[in-house]
Amino acid sequence: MMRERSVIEAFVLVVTLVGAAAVAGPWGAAAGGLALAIWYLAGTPFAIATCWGIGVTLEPAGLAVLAAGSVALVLATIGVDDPIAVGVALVAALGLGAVAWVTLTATSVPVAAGTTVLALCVASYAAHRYELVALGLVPEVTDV
Amino acid sequence: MQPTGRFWAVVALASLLAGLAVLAARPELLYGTAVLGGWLIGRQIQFTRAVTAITASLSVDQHLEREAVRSGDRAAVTTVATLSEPSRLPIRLEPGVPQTARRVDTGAPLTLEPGADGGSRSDDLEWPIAGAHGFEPVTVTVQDSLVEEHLAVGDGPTLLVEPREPRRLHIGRGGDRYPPAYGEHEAGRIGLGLDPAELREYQPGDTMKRIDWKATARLAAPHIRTHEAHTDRNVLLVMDRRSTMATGRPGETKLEYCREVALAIAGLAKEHGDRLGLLTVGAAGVETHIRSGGSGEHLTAIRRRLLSLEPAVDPPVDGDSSDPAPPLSTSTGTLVDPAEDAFSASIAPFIADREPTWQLDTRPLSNGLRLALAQETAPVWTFIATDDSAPQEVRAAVEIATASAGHVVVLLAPSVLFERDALATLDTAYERYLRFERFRREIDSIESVTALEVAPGDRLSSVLAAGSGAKEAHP
Repeated sequence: MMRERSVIEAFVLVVTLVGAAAVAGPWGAAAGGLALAIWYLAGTPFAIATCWGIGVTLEPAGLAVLAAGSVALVLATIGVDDPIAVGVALVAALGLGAVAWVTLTATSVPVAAGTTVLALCVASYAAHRYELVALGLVPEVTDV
Repeated sequence: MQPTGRFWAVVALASLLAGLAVLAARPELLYGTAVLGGWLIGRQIQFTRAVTAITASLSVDQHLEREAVRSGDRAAVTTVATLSEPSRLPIRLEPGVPQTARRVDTGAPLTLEPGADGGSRSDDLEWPIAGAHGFEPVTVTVQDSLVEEHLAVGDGPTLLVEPREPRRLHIGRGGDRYPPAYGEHEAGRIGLGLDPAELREYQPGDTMKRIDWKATARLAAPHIRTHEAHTDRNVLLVMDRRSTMATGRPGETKLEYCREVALAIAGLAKEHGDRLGLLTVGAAGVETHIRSGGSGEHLTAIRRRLLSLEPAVDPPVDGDSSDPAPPLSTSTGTLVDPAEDAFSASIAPFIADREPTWQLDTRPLSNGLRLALAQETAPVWTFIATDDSAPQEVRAAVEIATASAGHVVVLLAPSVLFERDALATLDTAYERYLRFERFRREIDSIESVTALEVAPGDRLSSVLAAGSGAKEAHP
C-alpha cells in the first residue's frame, strides 16, 4: 500500500501519458513520459510536481490532463483500501486549493503562494498532533 | 511522528512549486502545491492509522531466563513479538535493556517485515552491578519513507542481581543452627558496671555519689544502687588464609564465609568493650599478628584487615601429617611485623640485609597460634576459622589454644559444601559431610571447646536432604 511504486500508479501515469498525447500532441506525450520517468526514478511526489511543472508549459487541455493524472496518482498511492486516508487527502488538496484560489482572487500571487505554503504546514502539523492524540502519546497535563 | 529527510524534501518541493508560481507568474502551479500537500497529509493520516492498527494487534514480551543472578553472571533476555493482524509497515523492536547491563552477544535485530505475524530475538547480557534492574518497555519503531514513530510497548521485567558474598550463611552443629556463641559475660559479682543489679540501704563507707536519690526519696531512707560488674575479655581471631580456604565459587569461598563470621565477632567484641586481636596464617606461617586491644582505632584496623583478606595462592600444604609438631625453628620464614613486639623490633636490623630464605611451615596454624598466645598475659577466648583439610593441625591448634586457659571456638568450613562439583553426586557428598561431622564432634567434645560448622545453608540443606532420603530408602 505504501510502496513508492506500484502497478496501479504506473497504470495511472501511462493513461495520463496517453491522454496528454491525445490532447497536446508530442509535447503532451513528452510531458507524460517525463512524469512517468521521474515517478520511476524519484517517486510519486516528484512525479506530481513534474506533472504540474511541465503541465503549465502546455495548452490548458494538456495541463488539465496532467493535473487530473496527478490527482489520480495521489489516490493510487494512498490506495483504495484506506478510504479515510484517501478522503483526508482529497479534502486536504481541495482545501489547500481553495486557500490558493481565494488568496489569488483577493491578493497577489506572492501572497497567495505564501499563504498556500503556510496552510500546508499548518495542516501537516495538525496531522502530526492528531497522530499523537490517536496513539496516546500526549502527556497528561497536571495542575500545579 | 518524526519526519524523515524525504518528508522535508516533499515540503521543499511543494514550496518550490509555489516559488515557481511567483517567478513564472503562473498561479496554476499553486494548485500543484495543493495537490502535493493533499498527498502529504493523506500519507500522514494513513501512517497514523497503520500505527494505530499495529498497537492494537501487537503484543510484546521480554522474558528473562532467570529472575535473579549474582553480580558478574550472565542472563539472557528474549524478546518475543506477536501480531494478531499482519502489519502493512515494517516494525523494528529493541528490548529495553537497562544501562547497567553489558551486552555480551547481541541478537539479530528483530524486524517484522510487512505481512509477518511475529518474531523473536535473544540478547546475552552480563550483569556486573548488584541491585534490582528494571527493564524498560520494548521500543517499537514503525517507519515509512516519510515519517517514523517510536512507541514503548509492554512491561519490562526486573532482574535481581545479588552481590557476590555469602548470603545463606549457616553456623551450627550437624545442620542445626547454633545460637550466637559470643554471649554476655557478666562476672557474676556486684561491682561498678553499667547494668543495674539491686538496691541496698546506705552503709557507712559508701560514697555520696553512689546514693540513688530517687530510691532514697521513695523509700524514705538512703539507698545505694549497685551495678553488675563486667569483665574485659581478650579475644583472639585466628584466620586461616591458606589456599584451601579459596575453595568455593567467586564471592562464596570458605574464607569469605569465615570472614563474615569474624566480622560479626569483631562487631560483638566492640559492642561488649572486649579487647580483640587478630592472627592471620598463610602457608609460610604468621602473616599478620595484631595484638589484643580495645580502642576504636584498633578495632577498625582489625576490621579493615579482615575485609582485605584474600585467600593465598600458594600450593596446598599437606598439614595432615601425623608427625609431631615441628620445632618453632621451622617457622624461620614467617612474616613478623617489627612494630608488633619488642623482640621483632630488636632483631629487625640484623635480618634486614639478609636474603630471605623462605621455608614452608608445615604447621603454620598451630605454630602461629602458639607464638601469638605466648604474648598474651590473660586468658584468651580464641576463635579459630579454618577448614577440614588438615584435621591433625586443627587438633594441634585447639590443644595449644585450650592450654591458654581460655575458651576456644573452632569455626570449621566443610570442604564438601564449598567444592563446585561436590554436590553432583549427593550420596557421596553426604558421606563426606558425615566424615566432617565426626571430626567436628571430636573437636567439640574437647573441654572448653565449641566446634561449629560454617557453610552455605542451601548447599548444606541439599546434602542433608539427600541423606534423609537415603535413610528412608534404606532404613
